Amino acid sequence: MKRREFLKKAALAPGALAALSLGCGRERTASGKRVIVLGVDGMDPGLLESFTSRGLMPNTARLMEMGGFRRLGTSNPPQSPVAWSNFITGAPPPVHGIFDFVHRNPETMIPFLSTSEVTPPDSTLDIGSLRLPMSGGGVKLLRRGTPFWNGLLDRGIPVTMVKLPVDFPPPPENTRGLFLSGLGTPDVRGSQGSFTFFTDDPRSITDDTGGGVVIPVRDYGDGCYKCRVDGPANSLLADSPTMSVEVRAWIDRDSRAVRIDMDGDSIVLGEGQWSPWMRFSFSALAGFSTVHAIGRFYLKEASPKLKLYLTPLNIDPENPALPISSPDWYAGDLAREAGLYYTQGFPEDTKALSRGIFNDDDYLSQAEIVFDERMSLFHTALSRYREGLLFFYFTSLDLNVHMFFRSMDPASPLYGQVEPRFRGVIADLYSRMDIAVGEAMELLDSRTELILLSDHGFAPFRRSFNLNSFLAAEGFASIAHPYQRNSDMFACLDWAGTGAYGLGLNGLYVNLAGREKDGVVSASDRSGLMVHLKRSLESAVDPLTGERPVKNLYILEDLYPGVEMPPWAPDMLVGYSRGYRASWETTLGAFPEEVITDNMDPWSGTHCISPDECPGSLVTTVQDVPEGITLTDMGALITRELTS
Amino acid sequence: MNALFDVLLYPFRTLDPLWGMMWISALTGVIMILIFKRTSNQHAISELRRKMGSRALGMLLYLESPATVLKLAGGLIADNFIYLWHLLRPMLVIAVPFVLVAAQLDARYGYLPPGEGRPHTAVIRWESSLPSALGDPVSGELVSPVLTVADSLEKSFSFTGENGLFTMDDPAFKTGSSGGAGSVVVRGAEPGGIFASILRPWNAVSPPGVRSVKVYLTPADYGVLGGRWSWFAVFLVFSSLWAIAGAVVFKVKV
Repeated sequence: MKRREFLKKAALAPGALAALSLGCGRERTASGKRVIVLGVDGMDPGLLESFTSRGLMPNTARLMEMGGFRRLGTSNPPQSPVAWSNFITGAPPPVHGIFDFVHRNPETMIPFLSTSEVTPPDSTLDIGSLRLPMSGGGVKLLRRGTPFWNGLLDRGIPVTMVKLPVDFPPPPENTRGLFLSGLGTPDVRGSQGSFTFFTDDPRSITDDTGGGVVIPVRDYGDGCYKCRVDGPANSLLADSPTMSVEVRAWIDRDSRAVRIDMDGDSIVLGEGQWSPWMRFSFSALAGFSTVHAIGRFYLKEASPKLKLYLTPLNIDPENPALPISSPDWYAGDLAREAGLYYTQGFPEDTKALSRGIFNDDDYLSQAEIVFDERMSLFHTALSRYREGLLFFYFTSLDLNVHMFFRSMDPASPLYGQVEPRFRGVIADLYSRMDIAVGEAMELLDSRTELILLSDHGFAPFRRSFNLNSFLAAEGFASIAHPYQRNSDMFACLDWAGTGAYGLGLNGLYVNLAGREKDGVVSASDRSGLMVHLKRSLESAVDPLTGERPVKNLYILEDLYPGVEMPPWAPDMLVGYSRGYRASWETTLGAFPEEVITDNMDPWSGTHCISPDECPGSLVTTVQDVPEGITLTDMGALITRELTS
Repeated sequence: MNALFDVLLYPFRTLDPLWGMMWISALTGVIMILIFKRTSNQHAISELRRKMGSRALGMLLYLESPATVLKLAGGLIADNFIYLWHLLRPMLVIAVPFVLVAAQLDARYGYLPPGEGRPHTAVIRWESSLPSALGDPVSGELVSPVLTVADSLEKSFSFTGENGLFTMDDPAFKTGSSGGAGSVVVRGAEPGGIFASILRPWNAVSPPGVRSVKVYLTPADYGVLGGRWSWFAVFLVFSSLWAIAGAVVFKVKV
């Protein structure tokens, strides 16, 4: 090559590289039709009607006039993982395999998350304390069945699903759509969201580990608190020790502020202030392997005591430690445009409020951050959307109504404790959702349809029903160790004398011989026992209110005759009446003394009741929507609109 | 150095920062290879490479004779050390401009100027005594209380910038940049001196009474071929590519 030729080509090379770099991240177009689906978890049809008629949701009211408003049949049980799986697969739980948030392995009686599981490597190479994975291992989606969008992708129709529930880990890259996982995505510790609370206030330090950890810290007189932030387990070492990093919190009690110093970054916070997302790096094997995470600090109090909250450590979308999007780059691409965002499936920290780490103000300030981030993602998704299917998921309504139903329910045992200024929280949320609806409506034209749907509605949760305690009181379960009644995982039970047990939010199981680890009920006695249980539960009466806590007890074999159930499926589903729900103790297999108690947890709204009591909502521009439509029909409806 | 790089990058101030970086990388790559040619023993390197090639070939030819292969391998290892010795002088010479260029690029492309969104933090450390209060910002906004750590004579605060800048009068201090792409992003201050200004061009001179200022800005990264890269990775790859190309064009034995 001549020198002049070389110089000419060299001058062009950067341009070619820049052009290549600009070419990444664009959606391709294939067909002209468009369907925008706003999946709003927990949008209740009753509240929707009320708020639209009061003029709080003008855009939604306009959408109702354009198309229609219906109650959308939900799943049984009406829990979000079950309902969204119905939506995704167009099939009921026996097909997609999700029956509850929690399932149990009947051979071990150990509960597990129903939507995904982490599998250890098949083989490892152990060198001293080193444990190097050689094959297998990873994260597996437990939802079965075929997603309705596969048919769209096969036809070349673009599909974008942002914050899609029950889709962690996302489908492999070769499915061609764009997917960002939503509900079900864990934090980097593998939990569904575990906060860290640093404090030198001994009153805050309890053994209750639900939802997070409280870590005692101390100022040794220099105004510096050394705070250890625990990350994920180091699976490359024997015994998988927890990886951690140290951050230093410098306190100034006069100005009621804290400066948080961490590797390469620092932030000063006054009381009541949130930090931006801070990046954490957990190093395994001296930096050869690093897990990246993001978290936000909140200074609740600097003086007289330090109360410093750290959000669950979220998977960093720009350096994901686990797959949260498909293709891999999609999560980071969105973050670069919309800003960093909560990647965990349950972003609002309801546990921090339930445990008293947050008060209502703290919680709402965090919920606002979540909503603003989600809106920013929504704007980005809308601005990139050209054609095909765009599904966007909002979780805020669900989790906030769970926590603030008490603010609008005079019959709630907590209603009197809610400050009057919080009475309008739910109405505010609905009207903020209406803004999103309005923004989506701006894209409406002759080739675009808009669908606003929810997976279920809502009901008050005033009284807690201790299902297992009821079973024990009625002789269906036998307690061998009364002092362990409040321990989880059936610690107090005498399995030999137990015919049935409750686990999860709606599941009721027969202690079946040959299936359960210590099963005693023979196959021939099973049906009779279930009928007996149905009669007994449906006739139970709350002595305080005179109401029946259980509206329906569904026997799965009656719901799905002739269908073979997977071994983790419950035998029965408890359909609670409005106002009632399984107690938190029931969900993990405890047996408190009282059968029915007032629900004194801020988690005061529920939908884990009889499905006919909490249908979802459907508001859409789509015409000819069949009567009695349910979530399982939505995929077919969307496909029809995009392909006809 | 600052003035030289300001002039070199002036045409790129309104373009994507990648263009300025590519220009400096190209210039650096070609200049480095020319320096290498000038400061290295080209004849010796050429001879040595030939010798190493013949030893490698010999190893392939005498595979059936382990003793010969071992002897040739030993020679090859010795040649490698000789090669490293030949590289030493040019590398020492090249290290000087390389450090200067790297410092300049880090100052200009390493961090993002403070914007209006994400807050950043400044830690100001005084020489002897702390002032009772700080002045109000001239541009940008304080978004936190001012925190004092008396033992270490420091005050710190978080702020947001305005048009890429945060400035205050008391103490007289500025961070960020307002000169467009490729301008120095000031992210601290220190007492000054010739070496400090050459090796850490991102630092301004400390205002009177102030020992140092440290500002935590957001590291910048750049999108190239679908990935996100630090300025150093971009510079290393591009300057290496240009150096290789330069070696071919200018017939440099490396």
